[in-house]
Amino acid sequence: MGHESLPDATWTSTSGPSRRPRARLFGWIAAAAVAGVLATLPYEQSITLSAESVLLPWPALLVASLVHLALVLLCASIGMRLGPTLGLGAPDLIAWVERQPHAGSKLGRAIRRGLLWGAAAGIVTTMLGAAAEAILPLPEELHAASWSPWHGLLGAFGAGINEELIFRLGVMTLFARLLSLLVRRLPPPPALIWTANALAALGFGFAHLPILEVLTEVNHLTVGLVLAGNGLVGLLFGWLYWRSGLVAAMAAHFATDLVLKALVPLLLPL
Amino acid sequence: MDQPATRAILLGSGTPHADPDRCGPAVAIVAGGELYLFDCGPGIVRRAAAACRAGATELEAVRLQRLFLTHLHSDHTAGLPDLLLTPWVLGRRAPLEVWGPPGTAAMLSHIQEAYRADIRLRLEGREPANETGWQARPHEIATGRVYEDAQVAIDAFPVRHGPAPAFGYRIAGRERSIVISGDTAPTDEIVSQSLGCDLLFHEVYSRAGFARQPADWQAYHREMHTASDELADLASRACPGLLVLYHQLFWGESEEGLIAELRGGYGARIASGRDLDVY
Repeated sequence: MGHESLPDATWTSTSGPSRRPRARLFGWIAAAAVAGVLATLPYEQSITLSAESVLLPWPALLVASLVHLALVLLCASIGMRLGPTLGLGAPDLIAWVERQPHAGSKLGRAIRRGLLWGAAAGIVTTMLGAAAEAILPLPEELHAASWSPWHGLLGAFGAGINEELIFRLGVMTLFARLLSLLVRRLPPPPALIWTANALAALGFGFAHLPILEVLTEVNHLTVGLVLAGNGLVGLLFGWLYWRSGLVAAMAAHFATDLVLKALVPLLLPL
Repeated sequence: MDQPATRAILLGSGTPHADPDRCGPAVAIVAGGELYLFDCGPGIVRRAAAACRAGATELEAVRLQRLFLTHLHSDHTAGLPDLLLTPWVLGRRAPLEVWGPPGTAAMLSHIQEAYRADIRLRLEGREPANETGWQARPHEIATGRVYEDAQVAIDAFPVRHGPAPAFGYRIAGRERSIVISGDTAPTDEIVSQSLGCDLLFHEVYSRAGFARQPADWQAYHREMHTASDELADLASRACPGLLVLYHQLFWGESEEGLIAELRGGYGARIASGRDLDVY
């Protein structure tokens, strides 16, 4: 066997086989979360400006961003701690930082899969939204929300990272663990993973209600549509997280939001 | 005599020494017809076949599906390629589920990569082979509950065996509890995990043999493993129903001599484990 095929020094270090890659992975997740928070700011400020005609003062923005970041990191920690025994977590990313054979190509396939599913979900959601507007007695938009496609792109990037770290890696994993404790099965059977996915997707839907208040009238119909729409795409992201890994869910979320927040406003302006 | 519903079969009681009578460390727990393997030292698949031939049909090759690793040292994992591939060649369809410390997934993927040509030949050649049995599902664990089903609940606890993560396991069956130390120096954690258990499988080295070892090996074993007198003290505090010695480092001492060393500080039931012993 040639020397070049030997594992790199990380494998034989006295700090253990893979502690340093994991610490490095969490560092990267934290860096991505910071980038995600920063990327979301222009989009969120555009929404606030549309609704309130003023920008959020920077001290309030700073505090909100720090709280957001803390929540993301807490959820990521929970998911990375609980995920491995549940068949969840971020094994795809761990494999990549550990330089496991074919980890890069597997990650590439997961990203492509996520992008395809996410783009499809974005297109279907847009079509269903248009159909709902045509069929249902929806209220007029109170505020003509406007943001540049660039803000939409950045918002999609930030949401793809941070909302998946919160709702899939954190919340869905936590629900899966709680349910497995309840029924005393570890790893949890598929029905339990689906239940955890549904609960996380519901939470994901509720988390999108505040923006409804900013944009339009809140009534049973609009609340139901927001919960259903976000809940269904949340289910899709959860399924991808479970079956194809966290990065696939992130890619799908990014692609869905890219369609909804950047491409639709760009191609179909109000 | 009726067998207990949860029983342990010592598949390998050995150490890195190439003792032809002792395969590498491996313990099979059978509960309610289900099988749970702990460590896979060299020889595990053939020892499992021998146990199956002796009547433990749960250890049929195609049923070797769940493995829990205490740590990743080669004497505890050198049977992993065999356990991954041989049962598949013999017809196992389920992927091998492997619980272990961080690094387990990397080890499995590198094994699969090493055997890539063989796997491809079997999948694409004329030999009948299913498409799933060669795969592995790693679960990289921390301490706490790592597995639970209708038959057993399995908890991992930390042991002291060098800088890399290493675990012992406590297996709670319906009517028996079993603790497997893996490789470790004595710790209070093992005592608390073993309190009142029915079976304690614990590694041990002979204190008399230790005295004859070179200084550097003495320093290593003092820090990483458990001497007979230390185990006697540990067992006295834990009070297991039966203390089973495994991974015994005799260093020229006999089994009787090793047990005599323990008898100096521990008067309850002891068995010096041998391959294929059933408890």
